[in-house]
Amino acid sequence: MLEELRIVPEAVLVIRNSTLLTRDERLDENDELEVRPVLSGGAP
Amino acid sequence: MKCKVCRDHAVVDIRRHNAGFCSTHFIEHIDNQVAKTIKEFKMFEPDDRLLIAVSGGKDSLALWDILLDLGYDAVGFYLDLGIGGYSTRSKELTIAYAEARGAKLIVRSLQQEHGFTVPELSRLTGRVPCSGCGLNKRYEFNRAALEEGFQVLVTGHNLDDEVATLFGNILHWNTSMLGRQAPVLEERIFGEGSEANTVLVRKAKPLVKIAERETAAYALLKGIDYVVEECPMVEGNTQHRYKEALTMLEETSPGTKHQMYFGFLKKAADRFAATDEDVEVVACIECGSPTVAWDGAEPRCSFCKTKALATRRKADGTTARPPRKRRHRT
Repeated sequence: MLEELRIVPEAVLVIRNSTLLTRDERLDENDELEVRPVLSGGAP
Repeated sequence: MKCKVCRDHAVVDIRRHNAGFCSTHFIEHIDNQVAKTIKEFKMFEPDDRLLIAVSGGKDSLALWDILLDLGYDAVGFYLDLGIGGYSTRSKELTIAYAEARGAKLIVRSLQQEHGFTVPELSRLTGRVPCSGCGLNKRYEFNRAALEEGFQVLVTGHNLDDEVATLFGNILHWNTSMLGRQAPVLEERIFGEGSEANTVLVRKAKPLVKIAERETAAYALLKGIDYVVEECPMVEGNTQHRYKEALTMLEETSPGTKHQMYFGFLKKAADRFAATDEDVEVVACIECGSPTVAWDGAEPRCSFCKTKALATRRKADGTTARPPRKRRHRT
């Protein structure tokens, strides 16, 4: 999925129902996902 | 994917370690990594008073959480930069976290301390917002640590932050900056004997071995509510572009970031180490911070010079030319 969206997996977290997914996780068509960017531009 | 430790279902994968972790063992892994980093670089002692700079973001809140879990006396310091709703939300989340943990938090406001916000400072001086922001945060963090008697100032800079900074410094051959890039910056003392006076508090970055994706995962798994949206003033920020480039390299070659940063520390950092023999360092006549002496000029540090300019222009009702717009990627 991330490849189709041209998103670098190392740059995001993928969350389904408040659970983190590893990149090998299978997805269903009806899954609602949050793709959360993790790289910040400012200081911590 | 299975957890490396218990073989349960893994929720986080760390490719450079060739490992997946369940929630419990991931948190344990991060705690252990931070504890080892503190020990390896002799960052601070168990009974040192730590002042941790917290912004409401994932890195600083995750670090505060880890330090408290490891048993350190870690007090938070939040500086309200006056960046509209972004600052309001980040302050609310920081205060909420402190209250939930029963942790002590010091809150100060740039507007109240010095009479301007970060956006105002940019308009008044022409400094790019991130530059003015960094200058003010470094000054205020150090001032708070000195005033409140903390031995060490701790920041949430992670592996991605450090390697992106290193990358930028190499790209532009900022050799003086390369000489000051390290997981620990020693305290700076002026004077000797009974007149010795700490002017810069020791600074440490315990998250330097933790990638940004891992601090985000940690915060999520620990239920730490942090500011997810980006600061509205970082658009076009070069640090972010460097991070994106390095992350693409990391994706195809796991371990790149770690190798670059820690390889630099091990094999090249001492070649750029700055010494006071290179320039004459004196105390700023306004605030006492270390600054460089210039022939014929009264020494003032960058912060005091910038503040004086902003204050004068605010009083005059003048502003600087707008900062040069960053070119955006097409």
